[in-house]
Amino acid sequence: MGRGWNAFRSGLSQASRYRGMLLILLLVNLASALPLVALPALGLGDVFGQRPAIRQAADGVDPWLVVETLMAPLSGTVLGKDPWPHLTRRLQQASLLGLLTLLIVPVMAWLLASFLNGGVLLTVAEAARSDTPEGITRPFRWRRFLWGCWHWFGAFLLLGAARGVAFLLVFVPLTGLALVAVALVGGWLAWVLAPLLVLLAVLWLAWIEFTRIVAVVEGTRNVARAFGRAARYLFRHVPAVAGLYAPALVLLGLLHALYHWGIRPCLPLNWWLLVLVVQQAFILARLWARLARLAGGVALYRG
Amino acid sequence: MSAPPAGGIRFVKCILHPRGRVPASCILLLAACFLLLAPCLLLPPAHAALTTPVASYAIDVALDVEARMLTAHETVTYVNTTAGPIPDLVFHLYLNAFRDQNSVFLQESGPAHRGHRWDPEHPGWIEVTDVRLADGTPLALEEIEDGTLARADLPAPVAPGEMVEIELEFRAQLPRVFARTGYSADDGDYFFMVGQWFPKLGVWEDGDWNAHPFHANAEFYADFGTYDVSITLPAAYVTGGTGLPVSTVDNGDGTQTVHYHAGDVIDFAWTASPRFQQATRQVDAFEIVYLYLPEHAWTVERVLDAAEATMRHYGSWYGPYPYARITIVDVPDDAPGAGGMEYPTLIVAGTMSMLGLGPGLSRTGMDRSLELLVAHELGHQWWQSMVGFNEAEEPWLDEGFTDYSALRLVETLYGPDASLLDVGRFEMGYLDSRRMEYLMTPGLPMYGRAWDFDMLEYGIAAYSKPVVSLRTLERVLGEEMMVDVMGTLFQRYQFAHPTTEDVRGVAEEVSGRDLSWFFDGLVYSDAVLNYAVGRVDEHSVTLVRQGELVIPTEVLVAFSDGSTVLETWDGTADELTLTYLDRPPIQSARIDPQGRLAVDLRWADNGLSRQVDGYASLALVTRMMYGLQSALLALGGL
Repeated sequence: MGRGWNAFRSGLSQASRYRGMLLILLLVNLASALPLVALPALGLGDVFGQRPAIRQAADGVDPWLVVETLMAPLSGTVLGKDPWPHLTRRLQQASLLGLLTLLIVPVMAWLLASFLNGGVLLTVAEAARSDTPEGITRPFRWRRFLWGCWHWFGAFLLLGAARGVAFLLVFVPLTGLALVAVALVGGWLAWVLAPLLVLLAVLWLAWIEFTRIVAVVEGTRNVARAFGRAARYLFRHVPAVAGLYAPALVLLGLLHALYHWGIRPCLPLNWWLLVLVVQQAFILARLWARLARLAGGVALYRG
Repeated sequence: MSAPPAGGIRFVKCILHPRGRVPASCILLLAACFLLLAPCLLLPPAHAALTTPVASYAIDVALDVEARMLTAHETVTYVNTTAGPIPDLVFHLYLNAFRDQNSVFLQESGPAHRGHRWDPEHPGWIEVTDVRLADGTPLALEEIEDGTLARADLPAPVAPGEMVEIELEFRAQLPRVFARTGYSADDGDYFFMVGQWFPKLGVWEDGDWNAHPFHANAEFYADFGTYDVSITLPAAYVTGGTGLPVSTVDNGDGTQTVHYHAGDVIDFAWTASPRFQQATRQVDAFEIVYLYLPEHAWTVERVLDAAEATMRHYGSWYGPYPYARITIVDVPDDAPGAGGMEYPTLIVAGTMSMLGLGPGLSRTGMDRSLELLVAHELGHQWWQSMVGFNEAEEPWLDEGFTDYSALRLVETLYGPDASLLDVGRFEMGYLDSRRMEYLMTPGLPMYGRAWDFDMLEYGIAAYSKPVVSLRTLERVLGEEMMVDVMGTLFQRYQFAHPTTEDVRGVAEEVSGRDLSWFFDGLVYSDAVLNYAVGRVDEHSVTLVRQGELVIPTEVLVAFSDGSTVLETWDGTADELTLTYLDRPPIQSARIDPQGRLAVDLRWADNGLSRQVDGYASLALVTRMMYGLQSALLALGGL
């Protein structure tokens, strides 16, 4: 446990030093989301920009607006000659784009994570490898970062695909079975099954992350071998890994709690710029927590 | 040859019955009725008689659990309260709808009902083995249509004010639970929900029997009367039924006979299971009894709370519940087809999700289906069991008024935004859900016989559109006036059979308004409505009405100096331009600013500003972007 905790502290320290890399991660995340938002936003803005409905939409998910958007083609037909074809068309487009976005986001997340993880892990692994004095960080090197991204891109794509398949074939059915079991047996079972499922999910997360760490630290692109080594490592160092993941996930949970229950309810709708800044700060904090966990993992693996 | 019906006696008309007339009858007849009903009077009364019985039944029934078979003797006492003679009798034999695939019900339904299939290996049927007048004169009962109706000619017509008494012997095979009735088995412990199980008279009106074959979408229509039902079944079974259990006798052979008495009701249903547990709650003058299965113990407090709140609110809105007990029946997980049904003083609930989300979310309380189902079925105590709408010919009346009542109730209890679903930040109101269904075919007239609609249309015409339309009526009239209208309707027509036109009469009389837009526009016709602000210029606003439906509304015009003007628009013109030359430039205009018109096809186009709402647009984009960023991050590995 103590080793894991020390690794976590080391990870925190590393994550705080690589501010430039964090900023790059934020910008990539932002730039990836922007095109996905742009089209639906332009469409909705065009139709709703002058409609008071947009204020309700901006204030949260309004079921009536969702209902109208979904039913727009039907209600347009009922009205016979649609006097507002522009509105109907835009509502239809917004529905389709929303659906398309739901399909694109997992693919986009897969590509981004597969690409960036190589560079991020190479950066923290090389920093850990170099014997720089305490407090002096190895400077961030763009070329190495990009080389790391590209070098492990294919391998991590494969790993991400396996992760997706496992999610669909294992976690979804398991969660479904758990829900059925709770429904049949009783609510008390949820208190047993939910922690078990969470534990399984954390174990799976650690396994995938350590596979990437092993691949980068060992300099291999053979994900199958890295997967096996990561499994052996996790099995042999359970307390240390738990000592890393427990505080790392608690930190993430605290960040979410602070944002969703403490900050977000206080943000006024009209101060959109402040909302934007706070939201980006929260995304940055989540990236920082993740980087700390990965850097801690590298430190732990390197021993 | 004409002979007076055996046991025929004259009868004093029920003054509560609006269709009845006062015949020149005498006190002697009243005394005779009294003598006839004397045995019932010896029983502990549930309440003072509220109306004079028209069709009363005394049934001794034995349940053969292993064969799932009923064997019964039935005595029907029918009083002709109409002005004309009645030459014959027509009985419903509803269980024959489940006899084979040739029945109207199974032909129309698929054969499936609400997603549950009929099991041809376990059909249901009813066979009347003997029918005769009380004096022993045999009658010939002939099955008609698909066997769900049977007619018997009488030796002599029943004259106005006269009474006829008929004795029947019948056997009934209960089906595996289908369309709300039948049995299910759980390791040999049977669950029985016994509804529409006995030969039951149609309603004589306008010189003929109002009795249709059992259609898939149709429910029921019957006269009010008194029921005395003795059920003999294994002693281990816990029972529930319409009315009150007045005695239980241990027969000493492992069986028991439970005697139920119910007055002023239109039907009798009962249930039995050895696994039932009972929870009760006293609410003012009546008792709520919940028969639940052990695996659904988590529902007890929620069902009782919902039932108490429902009964109190409906009692204060419409009129008090006059019976001594309301029984709520739970259904096993392998018999969901029995759930969601109303009978007088007894409803069948269940743990199904109205959203099809499974029981998991319902258990957490985030899905309010359990409470909604209780509120809906209890609403039928007022709008069907007491105000006896014809469910077969005008289903929009009972389902519409009931579901609208449930909407009001859940909105009162949980707020309008989260009255159906409350999952974290995602909330959904019951009105949203009904409005979505309404928007599928908003032009469907609500008025129509149940079998004029297919399954989807029936749901929209009888439930969704009435809820949306009645909500619009409530907002136009005001909540207080709406309660007045429904309260008056209840007071005037309880224990009677009002029609759509009767409802219209009450609504227009109480509100003092012409409600053609509601009845001619929404009930009878396919008219639809969409109001929109078409254009806002510096000094003028163009309003547009699409569709033939016209509902007077308001328009709020806001000016750049912060002042506003509230205009009234009768909506008759397809297009109307409002001009304000002597005022500051217009900032925005909004039709129906209070959001009263739930039937309006699109709320989103009801308002328009001259300028783009930049803050809101940017806030929306910011929110959408954050959502996507967050999703990318989470899917990429937390």
